[in-house]
Amino acid sequence: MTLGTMAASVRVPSRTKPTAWRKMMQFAATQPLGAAGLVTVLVMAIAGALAPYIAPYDPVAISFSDMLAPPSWEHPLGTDNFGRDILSRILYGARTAIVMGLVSALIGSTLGAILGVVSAYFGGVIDLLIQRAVDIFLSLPIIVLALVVVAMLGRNLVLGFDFNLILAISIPIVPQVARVVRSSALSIREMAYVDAARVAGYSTRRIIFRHMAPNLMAPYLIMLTAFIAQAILLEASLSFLGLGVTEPSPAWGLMLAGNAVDFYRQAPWMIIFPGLAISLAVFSFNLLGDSLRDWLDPKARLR
Amino acid sequence: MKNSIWASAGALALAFLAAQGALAQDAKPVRGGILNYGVAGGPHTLDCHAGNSFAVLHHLGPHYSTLMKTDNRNYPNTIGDLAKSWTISPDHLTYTFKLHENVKFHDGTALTSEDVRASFQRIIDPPAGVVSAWRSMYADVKSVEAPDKDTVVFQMSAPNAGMMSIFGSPWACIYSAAKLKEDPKYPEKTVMGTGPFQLVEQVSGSHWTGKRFDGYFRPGLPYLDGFKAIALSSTALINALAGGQIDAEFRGVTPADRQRIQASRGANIRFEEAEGMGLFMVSFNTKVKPYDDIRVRRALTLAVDRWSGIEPMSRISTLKYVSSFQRPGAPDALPKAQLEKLPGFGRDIKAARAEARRLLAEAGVPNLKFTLINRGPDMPYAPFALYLIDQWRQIGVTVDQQVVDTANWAQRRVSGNFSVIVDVTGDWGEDPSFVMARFLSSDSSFNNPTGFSDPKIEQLFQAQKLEFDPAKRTQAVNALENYIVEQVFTMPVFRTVRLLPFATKVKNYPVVPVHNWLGDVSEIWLSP
Repeated sequence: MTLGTMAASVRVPSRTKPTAWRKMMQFAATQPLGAAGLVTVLVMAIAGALAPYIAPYDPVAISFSDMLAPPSWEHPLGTDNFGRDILSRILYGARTAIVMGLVSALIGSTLGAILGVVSAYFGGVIDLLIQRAVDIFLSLPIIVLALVVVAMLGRNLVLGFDFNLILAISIPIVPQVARVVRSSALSIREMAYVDAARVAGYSTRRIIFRHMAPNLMAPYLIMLTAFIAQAILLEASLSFLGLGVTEPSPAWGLMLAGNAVDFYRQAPWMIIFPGLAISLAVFSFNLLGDSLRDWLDPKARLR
Repeated sequence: MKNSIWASAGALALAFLAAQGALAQDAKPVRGGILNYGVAGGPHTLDCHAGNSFAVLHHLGPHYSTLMKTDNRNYPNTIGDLAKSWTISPDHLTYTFKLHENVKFHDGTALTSEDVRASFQRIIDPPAGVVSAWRSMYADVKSVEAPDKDTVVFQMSAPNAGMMSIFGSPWACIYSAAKLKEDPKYPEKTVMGTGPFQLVEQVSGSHWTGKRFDGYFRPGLPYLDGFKAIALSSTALINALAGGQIDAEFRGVTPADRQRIQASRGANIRFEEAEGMGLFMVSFNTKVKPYDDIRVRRALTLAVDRWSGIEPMSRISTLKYVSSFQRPGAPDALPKAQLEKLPGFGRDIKAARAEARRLLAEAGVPNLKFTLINRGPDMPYAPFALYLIDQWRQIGVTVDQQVVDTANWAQRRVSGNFSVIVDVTGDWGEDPSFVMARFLSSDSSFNNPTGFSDPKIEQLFQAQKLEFDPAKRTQAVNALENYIVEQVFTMPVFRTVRLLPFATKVKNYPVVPVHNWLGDVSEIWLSP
């Protein structure tokens, strides 16, 4: 046997990285509840994106002839006191919920993560100042903080979404993520590769963003998914209180407020279905977040 | 059209007759008992002259008398309260009132014409530090005199056909001249009048109680031993009515609340209703483009199908009548035929919307977009705005709603910080001299937020004010209203219903459109 034939017959085990698909399959196999959450979230996102094509009615069109109609083939989830189709409003409302939830959580978690890692890296007075500010914000209940911010900022529509409302939801997320990320970053700061980067003369920005930040992705992702659920709930709460999305825009929290309070005895479907949509979205994101935490945590995997 | 104003007016007339019948059946009043009623809000002042909210009169009303008053059995006529008789000079420049004898204040002192003079003088020309919210209404009064202890004379600088109604203002409470001399601000601290009830206790945020004033000048009245006004939030108030903790509420409830209360109380509750004074409108800032263009404003009013919308709206809100500025049942209201010729009040909505689209295109804004400023409280502001947004959508206009709290709304309205705003009136009386006064040009009326000015409005207003012949005055008022509706700086849309709940034991309270005047509590009695 020549060397050439030997080389041809020996199959060296592949060292290539698993594909995204394989990773997802792995996730689904080890975290079935998380996978169910992910599927539900994806279904909601797709339904929201395709709402103009799949919603049976215009979500804002008033049709008094269909006022307070119970669920039927024509209106599977019934209609509200203006005769608006609840299924259509829930489908369009998914856009508001997912966009507001995702963008708010992304902004809040990213700013919080940056603040946390900066606080941990510099330590000393900077850490002290940042952490005391975080303490102040953490002492305020999340809904109260959001209420104050939304009342102060007013409205600022960008692409049909109230950017100030997104900020109002993001701000209470920042200190919570900052505190968690700081605790992880404190241990990473002491790692040899961070020392090596410092010795090699890399800039502070490079050390933070190129060397420390990638190692904080796991807590960041976990916090992000957890806060999407919280942001959806917060948006719904603010809309319910009249400080979030305004009528006639379809939004789940808004569907529970206003006239729904007057008509829920006559037409319970006005509150049951939007309530279910909020619960399902929050539950799904929470399942996904918890499973992601278990999946990304090596200690949990060993258990 | 199932529920036109005229059908409603007919129904109201029937209801009125039925109510009269009911009142006649309740002809044997019973003395005694305490009336418990709810008020959604506390008084922001104890001084009637400074007050402008229903919550003020729903507490203070039973303690005070006025010179004249609205006749709630023959609404909106004005009858004497402290005034026993009166004469008006042929030139309408002198009003002479003779007062009832033996009228006493709650502290036992006798009322004289000087008390009436001092009280009106306080409204017309308030001393430093005293707030008079109603001063402008008496702008035509030159002087108030008290030539003898039973006579009050008002000299006018100009005639005003609405003056008798203005003398009947429920805000013109009569105070003690002697006490005003000691301290012109005493009404802000002490509740002491000549009304049927004396104040017993005031617990801010909780309750307000009154007991029968035995020295009240109208013989045999009041029937009640006393009353207790309980301060409640709007939701708690409905719960209290449903649970039977209170016997009445005098501002009004929604149709949904009515169903709930009726379901809980069954035969122990009854509801009475009248056309309300709350007129829901939209005001345009005519200083802002494109609302300076009458074509745009006209298009926006043409797009709103008032006649088809009102019946379903009445099932989900307190809006129940299509209305111009005058209440449909008011003596000087526009006749039906005339109203339907005005922009936005026509029956052919298809043609109106085609015209609206044409006007918008002609004005260069075929795809108009704007933000509608709306006021926070939900009913009926929220359904009203939603209906408008849907109507405007049907001519290609995109509207974003911005809901602000009441203080912010009022501030934006007064400062002109809006393009299009939901507007509302809630007058305490019917006379066109004050109903229409707020629609005078913005430079004459602080209450017209639109920035619109047109001398013709002032001319037409003066013409009706100086006309004392009732038929001719109605014509003059109609001409004024016609002209204002056609300018569309403010577009009237729907009017509220005043729907009052009463425990069936509460008798003898004729419901009138005005909600911020409590009415005559002295005549209410409770069946055993």
